[in-house]
Amino acid sequence: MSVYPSSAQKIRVEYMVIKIKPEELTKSVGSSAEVKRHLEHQREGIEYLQNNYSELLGKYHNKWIVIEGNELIAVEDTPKQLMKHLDELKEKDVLLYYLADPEDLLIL
Amino acid sequence: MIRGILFEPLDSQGKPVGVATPYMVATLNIPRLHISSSLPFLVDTGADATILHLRDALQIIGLRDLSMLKETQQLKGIGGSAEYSIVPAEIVFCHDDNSLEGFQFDLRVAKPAKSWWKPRQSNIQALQLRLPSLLGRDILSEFCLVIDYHRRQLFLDHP
Repeated sequence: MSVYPSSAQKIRVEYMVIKIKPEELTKSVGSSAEVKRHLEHQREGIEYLQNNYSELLGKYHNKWIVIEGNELIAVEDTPKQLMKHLDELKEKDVLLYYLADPEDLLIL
Repeated sequence: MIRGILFEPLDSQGKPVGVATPYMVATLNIPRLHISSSLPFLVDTGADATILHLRDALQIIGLRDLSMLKETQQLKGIGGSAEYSIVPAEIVFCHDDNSLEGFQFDLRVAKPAKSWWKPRQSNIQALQLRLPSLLGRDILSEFCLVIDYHRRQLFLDHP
């Protein structure tokens, strides 16, 4: 007997993804207008980072930056400082980014 | 259609810095911890599972709640293996027509490395805090994923 079906079954169980019914979505994350507002806020942060990247990199390379909407709200030098600050940022829609030197490639 | 962002920063001469990075912005909901937050995920077709990496985990969950997450799993990456907690979560995307689409799934949440709290471990901490959260194939496989570097477009859709 082939072992393939049981392995396939195991994979399905480990990575089970269930589509949420539309009527349940509003209950769990709020109205589409609310969700869209939060997502747009994050997109705004990414656009700010993209548009100001060269200037930010020049000033803050090898540091973590915290962006809220289209505003830079914090710069942290060390993991310890960043972690201290992250607790205060809980429940805020902020964008965290590490400004690595361009030569410092990250392979995931 | 759910639009993503091909993040392509420019240097002071107006030239692209590296190759554009594909991000999808989504709302992540963790009912058990009463957390709902929107954040960018790096689109990673090389990742089996969707992952909340430490930088984002510390910000939206916090160190205290993060250390209380028990069910863990070792996941392997290019840099070695690391410990992740498995947490039931929901991920929600917004389509162009403002309709929402969401999924329940098992989110993998990065835990601080075992050596995290030892003295002089700032290199390990710094590396873990650099990693973006990943949108893995568990969620991506629900969609048709288009990354068109030529037209600077990234989106998820249904055929």
